[in-house]
Amino acid sequence: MSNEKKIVNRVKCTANISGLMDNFYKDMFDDNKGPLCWCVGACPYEMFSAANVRRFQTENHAARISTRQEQAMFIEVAEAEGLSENVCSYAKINIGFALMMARGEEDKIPERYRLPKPDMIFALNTCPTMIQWCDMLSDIFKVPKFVVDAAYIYDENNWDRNVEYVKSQLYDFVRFLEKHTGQPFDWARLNEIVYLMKQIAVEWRAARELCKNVPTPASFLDALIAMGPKNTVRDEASLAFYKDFHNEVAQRAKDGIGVLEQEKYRIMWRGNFPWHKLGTLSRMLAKYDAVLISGVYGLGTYGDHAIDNILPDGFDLSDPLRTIAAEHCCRSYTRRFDWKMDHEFRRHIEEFSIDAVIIHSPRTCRPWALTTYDMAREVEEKYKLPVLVLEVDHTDPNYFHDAQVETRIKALLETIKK
Amino acid sequence: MNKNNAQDRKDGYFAGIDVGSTTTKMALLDFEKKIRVSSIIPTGPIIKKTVDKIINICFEKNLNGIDDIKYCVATGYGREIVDLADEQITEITCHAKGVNVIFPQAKTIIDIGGQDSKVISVDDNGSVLSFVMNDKCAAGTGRFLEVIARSLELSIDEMATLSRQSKKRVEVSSMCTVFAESEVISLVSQGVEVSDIAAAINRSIARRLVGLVQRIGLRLPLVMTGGVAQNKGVVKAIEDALNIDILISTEPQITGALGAAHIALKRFQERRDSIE
Repeated sequence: MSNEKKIVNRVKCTANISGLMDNFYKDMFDDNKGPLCWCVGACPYEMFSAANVRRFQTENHAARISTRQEQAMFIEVAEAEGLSENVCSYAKINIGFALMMARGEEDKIPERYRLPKPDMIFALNTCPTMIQWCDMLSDIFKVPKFVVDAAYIYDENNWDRNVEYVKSQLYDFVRFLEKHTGQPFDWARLNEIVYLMKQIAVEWRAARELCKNVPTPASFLDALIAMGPKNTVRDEASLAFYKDFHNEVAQRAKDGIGVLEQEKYRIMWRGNFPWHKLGTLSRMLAKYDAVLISGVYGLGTYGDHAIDNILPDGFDLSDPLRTIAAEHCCRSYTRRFDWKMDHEFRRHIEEFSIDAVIIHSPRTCRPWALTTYDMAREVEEKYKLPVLVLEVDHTDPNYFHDAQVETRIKALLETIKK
Repeated sequence: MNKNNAQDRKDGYFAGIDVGSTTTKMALLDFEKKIRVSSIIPTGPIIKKTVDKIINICFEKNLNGIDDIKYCVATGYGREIVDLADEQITEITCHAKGVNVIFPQAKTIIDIGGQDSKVISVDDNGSVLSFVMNDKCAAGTGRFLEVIARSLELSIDEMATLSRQSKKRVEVSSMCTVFAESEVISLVSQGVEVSDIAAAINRSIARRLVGLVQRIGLRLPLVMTGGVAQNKGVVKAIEDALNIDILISTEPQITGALGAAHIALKRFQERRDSIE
């Protein structure tokens, strides 16, 4: 019967992530580590390290709150301030959080999420909300801001021009950092961090490739849990973690240890992830012997796309800013539909033995919701795979109803002919 | 209860129970795939009681005891709570199977239930190719019609009949049930004919469904199931919007339960064959 609880055999070392991330956020209170920047979007964190500036990613902080399902209070504060319910829920959590801090209501914020006020704001313009979000934070805290525009890549032949466009802005950002820290930018440290990222990317990619095994030794959910240090921390401890992660996944692959006792359905996930329902979705899929194998989200940061484009020889240590700019140009947000179909779907479907695809069309994220039904149709026609477009949200709890989602997932699995 | 020890291998029934948000449906098939009995009752707040009630209703109709159910498939939102069930299968798969039994040529299904609506694309065997459902919204569902009919002080049937007498085109643009109700009240206060408002409501449901059909791609013939399929006004509005004729069975509400019962028979035969 389908009601029995199935065991999900997670990659064990992911249990260390919580401690790594806790330490990272504790460091935000260490004034000896330079001024603090709140970063909106996936930012060039290597540069902050080279400028002795503490930084964290606001989305990561919002996701952290959501995984414990404590996001509703912040969303309510932001909506009471006038933000529409359709605005990105990451933004609403973070802006609600910022408003509470600015109003002196920190005592209402659970201690584990508290942060110091920022000295500056940074945003990477991957969607219009990022700019407005950055503007709001800058206004709330009366601190300077810097925005880097990520070029939308209309024509792959213009790759070099796009990378140079981003790189030129990163040079301006170096001057911004020097002005606000009063210190010269440490180019040698930047090289060290970029080299570190290269090593992290190699470990990460190797671990992910092992998920082509049947049964898969790690799930996409393991990867989602593990991606925090790679995407936001980026230090020596992060590299040590990814070596452990790779080694454990490799050992499991060698020993034939899978995520599930019985792996019947291998699913690809496309889009950002409902962090507040990570455990629910994991159990829901396991109940029907289904496992998320691969996916396109977050893993793109020094992940598959970046590696395809700039590894193994592309990590140009003589030109670290170009490497960082190229990595930013590898994101899904800036790519055309046909590029996404080829690089995101084809590779995952063909190489990871995928049985069905779930495309998350988040209610409050326009970049990830764009063209989802066109993607679904193309996957169905080209790869003859069933597709579920799941309209929920990355963090807003109002858009996720367990019974509705379970019915859709079960119906998807029922269409797979096995 | 022992469902698999009946002496006569041709004696027994295969049950499909569809526990929907508004109504619960049950169909019992015999070995010859004939419907021996079916029933539809409102879903109460305690689903177990509703299920017990519909089983009792079915077995009061000159059937042998409940022990003669060889296999039972439960479907619908309450499927997990049916103790009698050997297996739970989603209403998407069950509707596809039920339609395939009645209209084997069907390629697309619109199912409008009490609180959701879905469009299903099927192959020649009645297997689901793809599906889309409305989310988090009662617009375009049976509940939407009930709310609007209440605000017009009409029954659903009266509203359907009146809508066909419409002479002037007005629009109800709101996609939200609550806002649409306000819009309807506003139209009434402006003196707009109730028949015109009823027709506008049907078109608003049709727009919603056409959007779902277009997402999945229209393949003909198209069959409509669920309680709203009995509303001729809505059916006509969808036919006009898509410029097609829609096929409807005599008992569209029972389709999911019927599909579940057919799947139950198939599962029983597969298990018996594997043992032999």
